[in-house]
Amino acid sequence: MSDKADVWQGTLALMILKTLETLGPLHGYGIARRIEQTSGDLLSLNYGTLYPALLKLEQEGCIESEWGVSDNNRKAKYYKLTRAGRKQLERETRDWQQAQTILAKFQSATEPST
Amino acid sequence: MSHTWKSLRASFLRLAGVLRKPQRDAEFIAELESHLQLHIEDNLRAGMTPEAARRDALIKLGGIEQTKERYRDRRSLPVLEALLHDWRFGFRMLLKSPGSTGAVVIALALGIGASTAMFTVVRSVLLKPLPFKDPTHLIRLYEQSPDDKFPYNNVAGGIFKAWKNQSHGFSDLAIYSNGAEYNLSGASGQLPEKTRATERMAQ
Repeated sequence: MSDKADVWQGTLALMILKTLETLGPLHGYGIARRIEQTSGDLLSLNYGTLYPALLKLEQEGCIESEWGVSDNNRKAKYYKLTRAGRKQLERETRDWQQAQTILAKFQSATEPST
Repeated sequence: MSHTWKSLRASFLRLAGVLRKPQRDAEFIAELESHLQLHIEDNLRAGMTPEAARRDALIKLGGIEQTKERYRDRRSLPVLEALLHDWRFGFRMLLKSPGSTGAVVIALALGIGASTAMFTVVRSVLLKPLPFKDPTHLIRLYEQSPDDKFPYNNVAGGIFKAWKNQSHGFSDLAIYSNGAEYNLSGASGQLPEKTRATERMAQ
């Protein structure tokens, strides 16, 4: 279809948490747009996949939801980060950085050392 | 630790999600509608025609029904939900034909009752161990008259004593005689009872 990358398993939750940390309480559509924009439109995201992910995070206690009114006076369900969610974000960010560091080491080690 | 706690919490909420189905369905439909409206408005502002705006919003969502489906799968435990559904269906079908349901219930009750009765007998006769220390090593000894006329004679007390003193193959010997009856009366005013008993001499 296109050469946009799919969202890798498990990274969507991290993107949601990070978005909520940066922008504060936001509705599902807003989160989806933000993730797409932040990725520089490199990511193909079915907005629909966001909702089960949001639900999962809510069930785990990482986010809370509440009905509110959007800027242009539409009713929308707003999600916001909880304290547990903030901790989860810290932890996952750390894990990702570690994974990146490890992979970077492998990539720079292509030449056999003598 | 906190990870376990999180998944435990999530599992519990999913379990609870099996119950409050209609409300939560309605809530998610409202959320989806609000999502589509926000998206369509954005598209209109970007200069799309109303149809194109709506079409684009639906395509980006990935289908309303698919989204609802995925959401439902995550909200509760689909396996359990299906199971409950089957139960309800089965129960309704049973209520629909009370006659055959009754016949089946009676047949099952009789079957279960008969098997239980049989098993009770089998258990007390064959399976339950005798109330002795080493029930598999019990042996019954008889006296036998030389002309084979009385193969299972009761043993006389003196002979028993001789067996007991002179045999070394048994860890213990006891003697008993069958068929005595006693009157037992209760200590605090219970009615007296006649019981059959055996006399037994251990040491």
